[in-house]
Amino acid sequence: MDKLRKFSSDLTTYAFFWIFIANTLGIGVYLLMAHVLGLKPAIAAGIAGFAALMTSIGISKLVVLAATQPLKAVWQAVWHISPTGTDVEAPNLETLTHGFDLAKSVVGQIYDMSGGGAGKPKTANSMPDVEEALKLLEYLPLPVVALDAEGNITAINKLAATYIGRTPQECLGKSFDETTQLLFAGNETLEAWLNNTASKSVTANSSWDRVRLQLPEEKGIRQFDLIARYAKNDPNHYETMLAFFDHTDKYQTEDNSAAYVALAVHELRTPLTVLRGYIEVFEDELGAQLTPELKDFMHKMSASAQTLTAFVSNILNVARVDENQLSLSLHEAKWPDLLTEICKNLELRVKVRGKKLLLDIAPDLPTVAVDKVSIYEVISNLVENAVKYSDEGTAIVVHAQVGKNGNIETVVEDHGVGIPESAVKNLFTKFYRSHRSKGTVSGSGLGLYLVKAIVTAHGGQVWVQSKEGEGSSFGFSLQPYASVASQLQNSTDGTIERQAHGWIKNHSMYRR
Amino acid sequence: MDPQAIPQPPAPQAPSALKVLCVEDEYFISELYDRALRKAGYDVTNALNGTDGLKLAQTNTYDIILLDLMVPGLTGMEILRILRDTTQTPELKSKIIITTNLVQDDAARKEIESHADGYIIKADITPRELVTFLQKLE
Repeated sequence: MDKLRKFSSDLTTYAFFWIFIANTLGIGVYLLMAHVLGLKPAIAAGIAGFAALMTSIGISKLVVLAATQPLKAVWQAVWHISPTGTDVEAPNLETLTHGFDLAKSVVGQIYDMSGGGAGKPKTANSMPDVEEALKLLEYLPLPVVALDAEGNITAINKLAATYIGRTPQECLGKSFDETTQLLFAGNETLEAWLNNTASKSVTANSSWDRVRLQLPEEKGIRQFDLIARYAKNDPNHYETMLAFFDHTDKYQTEDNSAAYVALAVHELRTPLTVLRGYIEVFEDELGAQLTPELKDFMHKMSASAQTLTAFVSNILNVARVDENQLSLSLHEAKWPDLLTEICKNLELRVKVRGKKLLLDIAPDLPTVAVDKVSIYEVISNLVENAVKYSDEGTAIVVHAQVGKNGNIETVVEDHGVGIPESAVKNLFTKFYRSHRSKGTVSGSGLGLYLVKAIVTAHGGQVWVQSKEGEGSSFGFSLQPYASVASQLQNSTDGTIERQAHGWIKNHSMYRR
Repeated sequence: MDPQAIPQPPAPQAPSALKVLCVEDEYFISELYDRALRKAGYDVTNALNGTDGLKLAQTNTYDIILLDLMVPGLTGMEILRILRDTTQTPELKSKIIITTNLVQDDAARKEIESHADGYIIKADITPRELVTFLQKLE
């Protein structure tokens, strides 16, 4: 009754508010007409009366709409659970602007009376009783647990008890949180979802991937997907039903391979750091005394260490792309300067293999929005490919200019063997190696896959032009900084963070 | 415009004697960084473990601290937190540069970046390039 009284009083206030506005408007219009515009009182009163009439019609509609909102929710709830109302959805109480408490209470009551609010009950005589339902749980080849409104376990099948490393007797009546230690991969935990849902909804469903469970007495961990169904005021105290879908082996294997990549990368990087460091010392100290042949050897050693470093980065970045872990920080950069710096870094690797690296950068390029670390990988891979597939003595040219749509286009052009037309469409696919190059040129098939992922995450595109026997040109586009600067409105530090699949957030980062 | 050769930059110049603390357990890398930094005119102190590194950082004034993440004793991450926590360390003027070969997940890297002034993958740069990086920082 309290809720009904509250709703009536809410509604009265609401109606009074609008009627008061209408009256004030009427008087206001009359005064405006009669005194400011100097119309005759009769005409002014007529116009004011008409305005008040129109406003009243509008207000009546508003008030009726407000008054019928809870009624509609109740109608929806009744039809939703009735066996004939198959197309009616459960009411969404969150959309109510008036009578929320009243509707929530009545709708809850309706679901209670219907036999538990468990979605759509069958007709009365076909409904199984609680005993039968519990027996049915035992037949399910799936761990299932039911919790009451306080989060205590009210039903659990043997499979579920075994799964969480307990006996059913140890679980019944105990708090689910205290019986199990769950770790969720994302931000929302089961507990948070339940708290949120209980305050807002009558029924709701949710699911979580990659939930981890620590078994009691350090017996190991389980990893699974979890689904939950919530129904308010369930008369049998099965407010929350949980089902576990075990993926321990699969997730463990994935975790192991990710951990393995991380470990391998670290173990490769440390000796590489040392090698590159000592080679540099030798170059510095012995440079002037070395014969041209030894100097050439030194360069080859240095370039090979760089190539290996680049490959290690490729392995790591491909793993990141595959796990959607590659995140970019876009900064404003002068492309000619950055491109020159990157090419300078790559030059030795080109030179020791008897080729030249040349630049052709158009003047007055606008600044670009770029992640410096990732774009280095892009150019490094394209130049590495150009070196691999071209002949000694030829030049590799890096062109940069503004394209037709205003994007900045960069093309790495070689004069090598070119690519057969049949291979072109697969070039950016992971692990793809053309039939011909497989046997003759070493490579992992990761480079172009990574190039495409990084460029796409920048909002650009990749393409290739090639003629067999004449050479290939691999190009990619970058957006001018000005065109993405609007994304920076909420950024405090002038950077944008992106992941491989779209915009994420503003974030400051300075790597390298 | 015709394709052109890549312009070469001038060699790095020695700065005034800035003080650098290098916390690095891999002796070869420590030796290399020490050599390159001294050659460029820096005043270098080395710490081969986290405990020594923290003690030095708290008792001396350094312009730059190079901090490896995986060091014995305290980890680089723990040192970073203590150095940036004003209840445990008086406000530090040093710039802290993380040097690592570790692969970080996003969350870990974000925390590091929020406390540090730079983040370097050691395998990606040579000691000479480290010097250039530090000179740009000033």
